[in-house]
Amino acid sequence: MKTTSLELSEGEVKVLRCLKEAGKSLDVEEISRLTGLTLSSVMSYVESLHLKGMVSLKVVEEDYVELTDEGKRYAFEGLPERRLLNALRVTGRRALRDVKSIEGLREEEVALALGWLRRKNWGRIVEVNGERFIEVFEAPKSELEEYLERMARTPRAEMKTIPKAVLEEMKARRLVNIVSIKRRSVSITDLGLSALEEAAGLKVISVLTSDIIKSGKWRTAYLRPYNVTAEPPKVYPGRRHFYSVFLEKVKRILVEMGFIEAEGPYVELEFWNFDVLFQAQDHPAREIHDCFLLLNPSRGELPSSDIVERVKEVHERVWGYKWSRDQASRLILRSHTTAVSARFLAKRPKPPVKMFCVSKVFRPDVIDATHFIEFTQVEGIYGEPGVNLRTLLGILQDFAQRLGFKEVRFRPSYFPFTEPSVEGSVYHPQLGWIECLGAGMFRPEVLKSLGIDYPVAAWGIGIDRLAMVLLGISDIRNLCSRDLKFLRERVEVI
Amino acid sequence: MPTVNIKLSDLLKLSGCYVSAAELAEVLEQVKVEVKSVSGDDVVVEITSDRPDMFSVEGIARQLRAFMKLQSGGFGYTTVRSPPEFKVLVDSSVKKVRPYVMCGAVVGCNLGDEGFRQLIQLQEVLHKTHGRNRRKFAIGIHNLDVVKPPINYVAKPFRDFSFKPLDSEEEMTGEEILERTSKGVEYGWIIKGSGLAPLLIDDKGDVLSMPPIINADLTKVGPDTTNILIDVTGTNLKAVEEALVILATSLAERGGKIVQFVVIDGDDSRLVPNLTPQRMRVRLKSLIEVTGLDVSMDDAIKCLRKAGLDAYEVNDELEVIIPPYRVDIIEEVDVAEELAIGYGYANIKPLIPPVTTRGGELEMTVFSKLCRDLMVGFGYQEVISYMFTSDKQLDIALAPKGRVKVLKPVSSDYTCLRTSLIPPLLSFLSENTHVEYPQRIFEVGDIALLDEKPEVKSVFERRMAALYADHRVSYEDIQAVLYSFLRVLGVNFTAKPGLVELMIKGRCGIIEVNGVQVGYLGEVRPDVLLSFGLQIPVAAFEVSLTKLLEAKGRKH
Repeated sequence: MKTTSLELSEGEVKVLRCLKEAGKSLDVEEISRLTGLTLSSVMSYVESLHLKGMVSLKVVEEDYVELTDEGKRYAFEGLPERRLLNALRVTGRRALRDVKSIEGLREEEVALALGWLRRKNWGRIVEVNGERFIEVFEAPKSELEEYLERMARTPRAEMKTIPKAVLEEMKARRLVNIVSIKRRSVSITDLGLSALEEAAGLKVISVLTSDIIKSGKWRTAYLRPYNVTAEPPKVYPGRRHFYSVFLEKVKRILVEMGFIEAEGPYVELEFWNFDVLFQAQDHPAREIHDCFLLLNPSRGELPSSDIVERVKEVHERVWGYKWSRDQASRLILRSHTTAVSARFLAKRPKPPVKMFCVSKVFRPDVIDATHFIEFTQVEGIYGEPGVNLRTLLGILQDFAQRLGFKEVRFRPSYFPFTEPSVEGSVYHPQLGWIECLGAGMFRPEVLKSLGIDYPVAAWGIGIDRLAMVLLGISDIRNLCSRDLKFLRERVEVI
Repeated sequence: MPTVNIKLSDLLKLSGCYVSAAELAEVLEQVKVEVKSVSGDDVVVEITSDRPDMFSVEGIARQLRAFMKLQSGGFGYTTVRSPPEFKVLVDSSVKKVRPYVMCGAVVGCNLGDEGFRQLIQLQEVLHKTHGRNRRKFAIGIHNLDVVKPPINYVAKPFRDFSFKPLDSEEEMTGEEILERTSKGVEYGWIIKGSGLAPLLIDDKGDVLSMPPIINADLTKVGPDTTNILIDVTGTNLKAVEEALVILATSLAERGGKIVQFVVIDGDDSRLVPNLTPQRMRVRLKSLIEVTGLDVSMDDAIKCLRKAGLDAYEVNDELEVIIPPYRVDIIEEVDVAEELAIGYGYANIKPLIPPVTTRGGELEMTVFSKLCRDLMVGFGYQEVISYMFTSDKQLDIALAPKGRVKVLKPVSSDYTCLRTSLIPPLLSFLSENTHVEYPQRIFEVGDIALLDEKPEVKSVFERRMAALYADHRVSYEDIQAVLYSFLRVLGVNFTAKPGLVELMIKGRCGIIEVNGVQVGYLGEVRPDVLLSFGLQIPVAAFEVSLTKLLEAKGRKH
């Protein structure tokens, strides 16, 4: 039964009471007049009551009539025809030629007064012995005169309060100008009414508590209404990061396609990243500018199995150079997830083999809107007797379509570890063809090194680029957006 | 992949295939040439790196002609009978410096400006790619008319000779060339170590070249040179030979005639460039197995010819004939790809295999998703950070040492992999100080730590960290969430006071499961907060999901 922020000042109570008593909306001038408060204090009270939701404000534009100089004169002196009539009532009939000398009527008003007198049928011209006389009748105060008198006290009047006929005459005689005025109309709200009651010591409840419910006090009290449309304080849901949700979707698609997930180390032996994959030790991709060699740890251990011997044999036979164990044991941040596939196949799994990996890879690059040095790759392999280039294209097409791209096209490409190799593009209605699917059949040299005797189709997809397209993001650095406001307010794509 | 600049009109004239630029792009794409841009007559194309024979317009035209008109032209280059003095004599002194050399000549060339530009471009692109920046091989191009064969290939100390290097006004010694010419500075390191300079010297005693650095000005070539001598030197015989064949046959595409040299190296003597095509016997069935394309023998032959090879049927098998410049064809699968290229990748109908296997995610993937969902339930916003971070950031957040560091960072912001998720999350808070509080964020991700045991000398762990930042935050705020999280997962944990460097002493705790530390929590030290530009209190926890999952696994 307490108000806190809704406490009212004495002036505010006065304003509210005035509004309640008026039973209608008032403008600030009216409130000022009725309460005796100055206009400026009324305005400040109204402002604060409005913030508390206790009064509502409406700006209305209304037309007013305002007396012209002529109108003002008539309002004080009376209409010329009335002044003529009054003069003649005292003096009786008067010869027309003497009218000019009637007191209280200016020369230029004579014709006007005579004209209106006759038009209003307040008098008539009679002819006696060739002489023209003017004769007046009894004439009660006209509506026009009443309104003029009223307006003598206030400078202007709402146009709508004046009868049409009167207004027409006023306008015709140029007694008024019409002005349009904006007025703030104040009315009391339900909240204002209850606050007023509360101020008057009534039992009004603003916060419903367990005590009030248990004690039954609520039965006899008045639950103060709220301003239910006021803007509430902001709250934000706990939310998933959109990119992490997207990557989950990618994984789900691959699981649906029958693939099982695998992982491998981020720090990788060059052996698994390059040598096994038929990349010569002087291959440009292995240079310091194209992969992240490590300062620490810099050397790892080669596997003890005969796979190392097989790799050495292949390299030396095909390229005629001396293969170095030391270079193969250098450690790097893996530059592609194909290293994960290589490790997976080196365990010689029984076919059919369907493996995928969605994980980070690292490559030195200039950091800008489309390039970063750490990105996510979607890797997959499918190995089984009978798997061929067409099956590979089928899987790529299936994956792209499940992601939402209707059209896919292919062209030949080159990767050191696959042959035939292929580059696939997906079609985006706004952006056109987007190259993103690098794939191929693992070369026999690779399979032989790994000890695999069935064909294996493999692909690596730069998923970041597709994610940017599908999520509508133009800067790759925003894919892992670190803008909390953006993350909180981002509208979900449903 | 190398990019090459060509003239559209030149390509059309050389290939005899008059098609529009748009159509051309579509066709070229099917033969590993991607049109990157067209501006009037200027076309920029990108070639896959396995096709050095197409690193100039002549090779592209040759391929285009085969693909569109079935004219495999690369088999019958006209050769001129070599005069007996066309020899290269290899001195044993070069063996430790740059052991291999080959020469060839093309006479009657009509290069013109564009042909000359292409020749220089081909030389440069080959240097940069397959030549490994002139280390593996380097090409010299000379005016044959001023050379008097035979040519001697010898190595001499740098101060023992002098000649006028290309585009230079004066004669210089080998030492001066290394120090004073831009090429000497750029490539000198390749041969400096041996103390000897490999030299090509003709019968008059003139130095023709000091490979792989620079040629003599004497043999300078221009658009009007008609008789051209090519030398290739290097460290790998096969690469040297391939480069020579590509250069010679490309020049021959413009109408020149190839003249071979005999290279005499000790007891070994060979005629180069060797223009004899390689032959490979392939079973059609094998090609079909790889490609999945159901083609007849005749179709296969047609496809291979389109791809720029030649083939005949011999006893139910294919006799595939490979032009000498097609260095990309090593074995059967390479021929299979040629079959697919001839068939047209655009024409291959993808075959979606039926799903006959049961897919599945890693246990850790499933577990991570569960943890993320729980944190969202607690009202926390998920954040993603890079694994790459800087030592500086980890240091100010007092994160564990034992970091995986790269040898050559591209930026000081990315020098190592994170060893904890909390530093990047503190950094996240500092990037968002203008956003309304409270800020509750979490991340599930991997960290890396050095470890001697594994073969890769490092370990990776899936972690989860959560941070709570507001104008008033206490230990209890984050403790409540962590306890609830662990209890919901059914983890039987014990908490105890402990020292965490990042946290305020006396306001942090350690979480253990079966006596193994799995995480920690506490209020972040104000000095750390200020280092991150944060002026509000932050409570945080970090747990190892890897260890939690292991602990759960042990119980079962």
